[in-house]
Amino acid sequence: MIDRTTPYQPTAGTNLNHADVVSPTILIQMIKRSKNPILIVGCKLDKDVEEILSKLNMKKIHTPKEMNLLDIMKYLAKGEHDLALFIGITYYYLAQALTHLKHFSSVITVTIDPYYHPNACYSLPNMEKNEHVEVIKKLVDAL
Amino acid sequence: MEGDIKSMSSPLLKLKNFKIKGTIKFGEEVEEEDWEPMGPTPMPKVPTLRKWDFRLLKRYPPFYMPICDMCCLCTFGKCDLSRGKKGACGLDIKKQQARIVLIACCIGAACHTAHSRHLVHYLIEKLGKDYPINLGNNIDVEAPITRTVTGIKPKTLGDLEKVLDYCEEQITHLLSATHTGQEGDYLDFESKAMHAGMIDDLAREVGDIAQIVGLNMPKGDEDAPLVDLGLGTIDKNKPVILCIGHNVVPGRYIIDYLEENGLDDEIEVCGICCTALDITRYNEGAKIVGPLSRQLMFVRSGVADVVVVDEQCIRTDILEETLKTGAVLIATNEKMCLGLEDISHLSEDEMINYILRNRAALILDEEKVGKVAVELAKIISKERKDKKCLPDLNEVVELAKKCTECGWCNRVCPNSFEVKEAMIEAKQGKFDKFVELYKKCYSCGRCECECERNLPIVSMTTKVGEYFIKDMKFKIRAGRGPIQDVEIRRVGAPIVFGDIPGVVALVGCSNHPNGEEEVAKIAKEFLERKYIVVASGCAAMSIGMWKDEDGKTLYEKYGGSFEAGGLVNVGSCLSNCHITGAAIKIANIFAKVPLRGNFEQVADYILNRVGAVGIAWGAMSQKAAAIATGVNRWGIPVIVGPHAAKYRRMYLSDGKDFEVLDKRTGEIMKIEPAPEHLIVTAETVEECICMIPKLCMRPNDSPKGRAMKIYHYVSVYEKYFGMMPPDLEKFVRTEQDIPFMIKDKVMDYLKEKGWKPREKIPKEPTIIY
Repeated sequence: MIDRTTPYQPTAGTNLNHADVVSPTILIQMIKRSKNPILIVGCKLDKDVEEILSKLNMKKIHTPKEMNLLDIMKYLAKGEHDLALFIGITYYYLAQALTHLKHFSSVITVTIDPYYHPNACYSLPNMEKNEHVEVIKKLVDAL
Repeated sequence: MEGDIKSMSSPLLKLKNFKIKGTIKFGEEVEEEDWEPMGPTPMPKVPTLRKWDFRLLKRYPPFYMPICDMCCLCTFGKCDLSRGKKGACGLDIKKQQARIVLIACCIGAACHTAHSRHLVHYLIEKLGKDYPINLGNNIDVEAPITRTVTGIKPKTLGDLEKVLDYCEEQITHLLSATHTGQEGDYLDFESKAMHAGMIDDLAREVGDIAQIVGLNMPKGDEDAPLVDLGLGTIDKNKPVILCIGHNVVPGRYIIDYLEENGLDDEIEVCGICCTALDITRYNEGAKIVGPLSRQLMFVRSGVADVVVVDEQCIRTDILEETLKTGAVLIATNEKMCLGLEDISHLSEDEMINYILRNRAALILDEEKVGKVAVELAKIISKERKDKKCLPDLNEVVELAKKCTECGWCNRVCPNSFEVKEAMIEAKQGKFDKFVELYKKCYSCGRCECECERNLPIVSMTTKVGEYFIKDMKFKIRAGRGPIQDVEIRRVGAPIVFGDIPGVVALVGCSNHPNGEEEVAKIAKEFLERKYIVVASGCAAMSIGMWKDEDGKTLYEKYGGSFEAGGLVNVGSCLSNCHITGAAIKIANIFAKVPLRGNFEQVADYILNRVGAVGIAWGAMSQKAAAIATGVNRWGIPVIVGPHAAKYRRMYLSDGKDFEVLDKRTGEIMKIEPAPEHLIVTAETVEECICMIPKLCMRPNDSPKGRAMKIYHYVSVYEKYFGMMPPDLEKFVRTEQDIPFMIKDKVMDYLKEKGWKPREKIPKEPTIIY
């Protein structure tokens, strides 16, 4: 992938406010500083990443198995969690669902897929699979 | 009638600002009074049912997902509405989303109303205003939506015009509310969207009833014939006429001309999208190529010699694509003129000559299209005999070798399919990934537009599919139209008490995100579980384009009756009205709820008692927004696929207890959240399947009925997710609701969740209080 910060599906943005790209180091600091982080795990997760993430000690909700994504967004908008991370959800679906939190909540949203997600507050850039695996490993090791 | 006397002075009387109001009834109106006393809301205006909408919206508040941070609809803007900012007109982001939803619903409603107006106008011209509406001995409640909304019991085609007059008036008012500086509350925008949706329902019923009676289509026939479906059913050695769109009239004349001239066996007439379904309702000899999604692939394949387009769901580059194949095109509808010369005034022979010279034309006299299309097909097929439209396999390999592997095809694909990977494999002469792509791709062509090497990716995919997938012959039951009153009598009680666990309606353009198979999978699951499965439009075709291990389609395996385990194809998108109509008829025929001008009571009955759920799985147009919002107003929940998040708005409850009035005791009480949402997305087909039994639950379920629904909810959840439903405790009211077969398991789960039985269950739940 040549570019890092064009939305993975280029039409996914919402015009004005796009996510800041976050480095693994900053991401780890954000999670450490968060009082009540949560990870939303989708069903499209790469097997290798899934295995690594299983070791991550953080509250998780698996969607759609445990909860519908929009129900999750509604729950997150209430503000119980100050930081919400997302991974493994159908790209265009998450892109759209994230706009609810973007406009109607103050929760900090971060996507940790290997794709740039414009509608989160922070996103990893577009990256190749092996690079992504390394980022997730680093994340799990640090937490 | 209204009068106003400003002032009058006479020796006997002095008057100032005197107003007179009165109603004059003519013969036919008096006659109308006979069938049922008029209810409270005939011909509801925009605010008439607002109170009902607000009740629904309180329970199911709009959930917005803005697709854009801005509003770009007037020149005060563009306005940034993000992060709590307001636009120059004062509108905020919520109101803007609701406004766009209303615009979408108005577009959808206008589309169906205009289509129905065209059909009614055409049929009145041919058959007269007094042509009777008679749907046969088994259907007395001929127009349940019309009766409920307008208070009119239509007896003739002329009566349908009055209903359309009403629809058109309402759409004008609704659309005007979206103008800058009009409505300023998001809930009122939503109420208006629901009104637009209801008008859409009404207009569809008018159109379908008109074509059923005027063109003698099946009238609720549970044994409607099985007709051919799929690319493989078209005999490419014959001249081929392809009709695309939604309006059956030009297709009707093509079929008539073939029959009159004994050409039925010599020329193939086939269709894409709802026109195809409706042509087969008119004549079972016609063939359905498939849903709208296969449009570009089929046209590119070059099979068609003459392409006839009417209205709706047609690719707007159809002219360009048709001409590339050497075929000719006839546009037949004022809504899609394609920049073509209008030659309607010419004779048929002159038209044929004109089109042979110019390759395309606009003919608004549909009767002439019959002869012109057929005669042209004969000539053009000879002319195109050796025309090659697709690259051959070797050429596909050579083209693939030009691919730079930039990956943008994957990124612009709406479903992120692996186009690049198929291309890389094809470079080696392997096509497995291209075949997989062919099965799922709906040929939008966005990959081609992005390709830096201008590779004809859709044509390449079509060729590979054609070459490797030979079995493209399927069967579908022709659209049967309405549900018979006698069928409603048979299933009314089991549905209302929950013994039939639900009615699952698969509608719309259901090919996303993973091809037709997903819709068939949903249908199969619930047919085996003895739900009533109803289908219409492209979803009905998608169900037919899948075969089981015996090589049979679901239509060949399951009967077409509206009964447990029945697979009912009602027809085209217009025929969706018969699905809502069936729910209304259950209220009327089974429970004796009066229909006439009685919307709220009927919708309240459906919301609390009729376990029906709509599924619109694909990515869709504005018409689907109107249809879904319309059925929501009737109290029927809808599940949409992941692409439908782009409609921007869902109606979601917070999943906590609902409040109802028990009419029997007069007590207001808390109940379980059933149905939990009014419109909600599912990410995957598995999630959709697991949601269906849940959204079929209703407060009125008997313990036996609820136990049945819970059994299916648990069973599908375990099958697809390998666990108990995580919210099951919400829906078990008392121990009696627990299915006997899985009682221990459910009790263990409930104990873990700290579940307690409800003390009270309403006998007659209603939200009208």
